[in-house]
Amino acid sequence: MTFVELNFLIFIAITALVFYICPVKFRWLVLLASSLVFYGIAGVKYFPFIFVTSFSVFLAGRGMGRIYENMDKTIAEGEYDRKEKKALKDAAKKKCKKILVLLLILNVGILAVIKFTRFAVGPLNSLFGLLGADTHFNAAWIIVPLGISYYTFSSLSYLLDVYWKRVDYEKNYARFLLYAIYFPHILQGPIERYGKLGQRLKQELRFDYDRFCKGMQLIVWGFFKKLVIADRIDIFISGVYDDFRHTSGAMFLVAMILDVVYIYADFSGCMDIARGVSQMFGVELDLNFDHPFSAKSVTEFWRRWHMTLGGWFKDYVYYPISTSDLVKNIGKACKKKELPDWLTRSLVTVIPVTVTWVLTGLWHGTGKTYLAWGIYYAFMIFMSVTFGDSFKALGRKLNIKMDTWSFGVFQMIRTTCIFAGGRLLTRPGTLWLSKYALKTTFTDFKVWTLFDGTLYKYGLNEAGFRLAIIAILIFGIISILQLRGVSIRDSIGRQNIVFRWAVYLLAIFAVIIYGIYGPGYDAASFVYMAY
Amino acid sequence: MKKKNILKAIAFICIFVLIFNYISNVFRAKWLVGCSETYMMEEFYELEDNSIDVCILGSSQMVYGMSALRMLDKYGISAFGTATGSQPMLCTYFYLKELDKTQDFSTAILDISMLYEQEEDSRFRKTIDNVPFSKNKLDLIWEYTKGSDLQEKWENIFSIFQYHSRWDELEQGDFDYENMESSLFKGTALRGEVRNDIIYEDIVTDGGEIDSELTMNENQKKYFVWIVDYCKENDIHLVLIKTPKRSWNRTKQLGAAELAEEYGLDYLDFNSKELVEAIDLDIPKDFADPDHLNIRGTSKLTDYLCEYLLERYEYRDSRKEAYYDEAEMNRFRADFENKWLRTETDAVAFLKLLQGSDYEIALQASGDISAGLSDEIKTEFANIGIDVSEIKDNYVAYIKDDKCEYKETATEPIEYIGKFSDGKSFKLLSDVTDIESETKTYVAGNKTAYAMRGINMIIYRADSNKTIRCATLYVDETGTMRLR
Repeated sequence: MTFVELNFLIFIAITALVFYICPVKFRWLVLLASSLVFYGIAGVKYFPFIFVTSFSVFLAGRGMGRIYENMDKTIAEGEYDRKEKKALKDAAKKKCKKILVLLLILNVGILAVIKFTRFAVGPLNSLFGLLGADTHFNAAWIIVPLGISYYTFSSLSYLLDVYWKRVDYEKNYARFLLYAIYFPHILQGPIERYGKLGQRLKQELRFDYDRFCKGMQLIVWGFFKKLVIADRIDIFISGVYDDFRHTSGAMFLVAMILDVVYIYADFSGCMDIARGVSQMFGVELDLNFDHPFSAKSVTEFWRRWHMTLGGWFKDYVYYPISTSDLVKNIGKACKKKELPDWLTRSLVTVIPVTVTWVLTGLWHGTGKTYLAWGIYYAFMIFMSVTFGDSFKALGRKLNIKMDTWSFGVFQMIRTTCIFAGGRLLTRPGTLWLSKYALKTTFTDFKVWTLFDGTLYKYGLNEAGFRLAIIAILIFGIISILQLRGVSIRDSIGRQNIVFRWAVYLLAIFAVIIYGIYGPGYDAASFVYMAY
Repeated sequence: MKKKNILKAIAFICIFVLIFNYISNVFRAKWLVGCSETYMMEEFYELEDNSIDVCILGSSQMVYGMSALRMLDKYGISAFGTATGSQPMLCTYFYLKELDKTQDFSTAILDISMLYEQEEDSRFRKTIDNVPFSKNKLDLIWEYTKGSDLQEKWENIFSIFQYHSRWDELEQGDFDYENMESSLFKGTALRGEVRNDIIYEDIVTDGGEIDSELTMNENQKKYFVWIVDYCKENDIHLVLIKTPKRSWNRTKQLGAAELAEEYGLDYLDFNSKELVEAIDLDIPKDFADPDHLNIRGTSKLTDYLCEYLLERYEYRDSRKEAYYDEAEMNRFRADFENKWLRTETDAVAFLKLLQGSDYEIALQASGDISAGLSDEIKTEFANIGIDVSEIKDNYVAYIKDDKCEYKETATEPIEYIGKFSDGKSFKLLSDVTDIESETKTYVAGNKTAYAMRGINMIIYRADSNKTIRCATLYVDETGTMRLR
C-alpha cells in the first residue's frame, strides 16, 4: 500500500476513527496495531526482518542500558576515587562496545546483504569465471523488506544513542517496535531519532481539532505536489530518457531542469503526506526539507535536503570519523610538518567526506550510478569545504559584490545546477546514458525543438504541460512565501469561512481532477520508497 | 470535540460530497451514440413505478431488434429495453434486478447472442459508470472485480478515479447530456439504414456446418443461469430469442436450443428458416448492417413477438394507463415515419410516402431525364406538384404540402437560395454542362449529398429542423430507374 492509493486514505480514516474512539492511554497501541497491519499488507514475509532488527536492537539497548545503570549504581554506592570510577566506566563502555559492534555487524550486515547482493553477484560471477571456477551465484531469492533502510537507520541511531548515553534505553519492546515501524514514516522516512519520535509517541495523544485539520491540509498539499506536479512531469522525463536516440539536446535540458522539480515535488510531497498523517494522530514528525533550493552552497543544500538522512550521516558517520584517532593523527602530522592550512584542511577533510558521501550514495542505490553520485558529491563538498575561502578571496579580488541579491540568486542557481548534475548521474539509469544526454545537450541542442511541438511528443501534451507549469508556479510562490516566514496554513486559517473552505475544496478537487493516478495511468511510485 | 466543530465538519463533508458527485457525473465518459448506455440509463431511472410489463434484455441486437414503443403503439404492451452493445450477461442480470426494484413485469425477452461472446471490460464500465450508487451496483462491482484488489473495487465505485484525466477533453455533452437528443425510445431504437448486400445464406443457419471447437463462454453461461434462476424465483416468464444476424451459425443455434431445453425455456431462433419465413424477413431490405435489423426488420420481429406473447400471456392495455405518454408516442411516430422513408428503396413507394406528409422537398435536376421515367413515376411526381416533362436543361424546385411553391427552368446555370418553413436556408445549383463535378444541394451552407445525374432531392422536416433524406432518382446503365 502506497500513499497514493485510495486504500491508504481509507486505512487512515479507519485508523483515525479507532484511534480517537480508544481511551488515550491505549492509543499508542492502536498506532502499533495499525502499523503492523500496514506492514502486513505490504507483505507478511517482511515481518521476520523487522522483528529481528527491532528485537535485537531492543535487547542490545536494554543490555547496554542495564550495564550503564549497574555501573552508575556501583559508583553511587561505593566510594571510588576518580581513577577507579574511570576504570569502572571504561569497563562498562567496553562491554557495551562489544554489544554495539555485534549489533552493528548483524543489522548493517542484513541491510548490506539485502541491498548489495544483487549488485555484487554479477562481478563475483565474472571474477569466478575468470578464475576458471564453476561457481554461479544467484540473487533472485533476495527480498527487500519495505522501508528496511529507514527502520534499520532509525534502530541503529537508537543503539548508538544508548551507547553514547544520549538517550535512556527503552524498557518496553512494544514501544520500541512502534518507534521502528510507525507507519507514516516507514515508507520514505523521515529517519527519526528515538530521542524525539520515541518520546513523542509516549505523550498523551489527545484530539486537537486544529491540529487534525492542519494534518489533513498538509496531506492535500503533499498529494498536490506528488500527483499534480511530480507524476505529471515524470511522464515527460521518462519519455525523453526512454526515447533518447531521437531526443535533441534541448529536450534533454528541459528534462534535466524538470527532473530537479520532479524529485523535490515527489519526495517533499511524500514527506508532507507522512507528516500530515502523523499530525492527525497528534505526533509531529521531523521536517525533512527546508527550502533546499534557497541554499547558496552545496553544504547548505544538504542541510536543507533530506535533512534527517543528512543529520544521520553527520552524527553517526561523519563526526565519528572526523574525530577518530586516524584523522586526529593526520591533523597532528600535518601541523608537525607545517603544511599550509588549505592542505591540512584538505587532508583532514578528505577521509570523512569521502566515506560519508560514498555511503550516502550507496544508501540511495547500489549501482555504479549511485557510487558515481556519492563520489561526485564527495568531490563537490570537499572542494566547497577546502577551497570555499579561496573562492571568496578570489571573488573579492575580482571586485564581485557578494552581498547583493543578484549574487544570491546566482549562488542558488549554481547550487541547483550542481544538484541537477547529481541527478543526471542517476536518473537516466546508466552512466553511459548520462554521458550521452550531457554530450547531446552541448553538441546537438536543436533549439527549434522547443517551439515546433516536439516538446509535446514525449507523453505530455500541450494542455498537460501548461497545467504542469501553472502547478509548478503555485508550488514556487508558496515556497517563496514560506521562506519569508509566511505560514500559508495559518494565513488561510485566519480568513472567513467561505473563502477558507473554497480554498480547501479547490485544493482537494485540483488533486482529484488534475492528479496523475488511477487505472488511466501507471502512476510512478514514490522515488524514495525503494530505499 | 466541540459541538460547533462537529457541525462544521459535517457541513464541509456535505459540500464536498455534493461537489464530488457533480464532478463525477461530469467527468464520467458518456456514450451518446450507438446503443447509448447513458441515454438508456436516463430513461431507465425516469420510468414510472409499475409501468412496464415486458423487459427486453440482451445486447445491441435487442436495442435495434425490437421496438418498445411499437409494442405499445400497436399492441398496448408496455416494454422497456435494457439492452446495450455487447452487454455481458452479468450486466443483463444486474439490469433485470434493478428494473425489478420499481417494476412488476411478468415477461423478459432475452437475446442470447452474448453466450458465445467474450466479456469486455469496457462494457462493464459502461454499465457501472451510469448507475447510481445502490446495493445492486455494489453487488455488480464485487462480482465483476472478484479476485481483484480492493483498489480496483474503489475505482469502480468512484468513477472519477477512472475518468478524472478527461479534464482536457470535456465537451458540451458532458455537462448537458440530459438535454441532448436521443434516438432511444424506452431503451430501444430504430435504424434508418439499409444494407442491401446481405444474402439469405448469411442469415439462415439451418443446415450449416458444425464447429465442434466452438463453445459457450463459461462466465456468460454462469450469469445466464443466474438470470434464469432469478426469473423463476420471481415468476417472470423468460423467453429466449436470437435476433437475425450474420455472425450466428448452426453450432450456436443448436447450443442455444439445447440450453433452452435444459432449463425448460421457450427459444425462438430468427436465424432459422422457419422463423425467417414466418416474419417474412426481406433480407436485402431489412438489415441496417450484417448484425442489426433496420426499422423494417425491427417492425417485423416486434410484431411477431408481440403476437407470440399475446397468444400465451395476458397484459393490460397500457395505452389506457395514466403513465401513457402521448407526446413521447408522437415523437416516436415521427421518428418511425422518417426512418421508414429513409429505408425505402423503391422509387414509387418512396414518392408515395412523400405525398400528404409534413416533408418539404428541395429538388434539383440537370438535363432531360424524362425518357427514363416510367409513367407511374411521372404520376407520383405530379402528385407532389412536379411535371417532369419540364425538366430539360437546368431545373430547381421547392415543394411543400404536395404543391410546387417555386420552380425555375433555364438554359443558363441556375443558383437558387430558398428557405424551408422553419427559416433554414437551402441552396440548389443546376448546370447541365457540369453535372457531377461538385455538390449541387446545400442546407444551411452544408453540403447534403454528392452530385449525381438525375433528380436530386433534399427531404426536410421543419417540425424537427432536420434533413431526413437526400435522395437521387436516376436511371442506371440498363435503363432501370433507381433510388439512392
